[in-house]
Amino acid sequence: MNNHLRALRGDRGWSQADLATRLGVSRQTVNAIETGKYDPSLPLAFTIAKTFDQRIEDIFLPDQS
Amino acid sequence: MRNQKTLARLFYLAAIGYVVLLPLSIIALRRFEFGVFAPVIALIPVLPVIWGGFITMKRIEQLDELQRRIQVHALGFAGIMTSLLAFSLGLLERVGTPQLSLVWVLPVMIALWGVGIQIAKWRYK
Repeated sequence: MNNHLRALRGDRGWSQADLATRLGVSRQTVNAIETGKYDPSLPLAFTIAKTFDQRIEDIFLPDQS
Repeated sequence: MRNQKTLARLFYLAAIGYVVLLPLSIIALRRFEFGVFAPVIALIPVLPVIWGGFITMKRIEQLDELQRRIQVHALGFAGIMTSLLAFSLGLLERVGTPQLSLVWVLPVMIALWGVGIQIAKWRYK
């Protein structure tokens, strides 16, 4: 699933480690989500949305199939 | 909930316990007669292994969702590969391959678990 996580993180000047700390996950998880290699669970998606003060559907884009 | 450093220290203690107790158990069994208690002496090295397994489970509980998924994949890989190796070696015994002690199953599985972790991590890079 594509997402705007990297751009949102960059806008705030956060490193992947910074975002990982805020989300309570590992830096590896943040990187995997940003690269589309891993889709977060619903609770984590809500945490991400709350962290960036945005809606889930504004951050994550369903795959076009 | 214990932090990662504490769990790591406890795991190292378990590993040290295993490294110390295994040769002591072997030497003791060779030098002394324990009669009906010989199996107890032989199984003493299992205690730190059980403790290490308990610590590992606690550690896995503290991992985030992706890391837990990686551990599931790695353990599945280790389990399947260990089973295949054991099955294959069992079949090869029929054609003269020396019998391997079951004591090697755990170290082989742990090694394959480590390989499985690296493979699973690579998938998510």
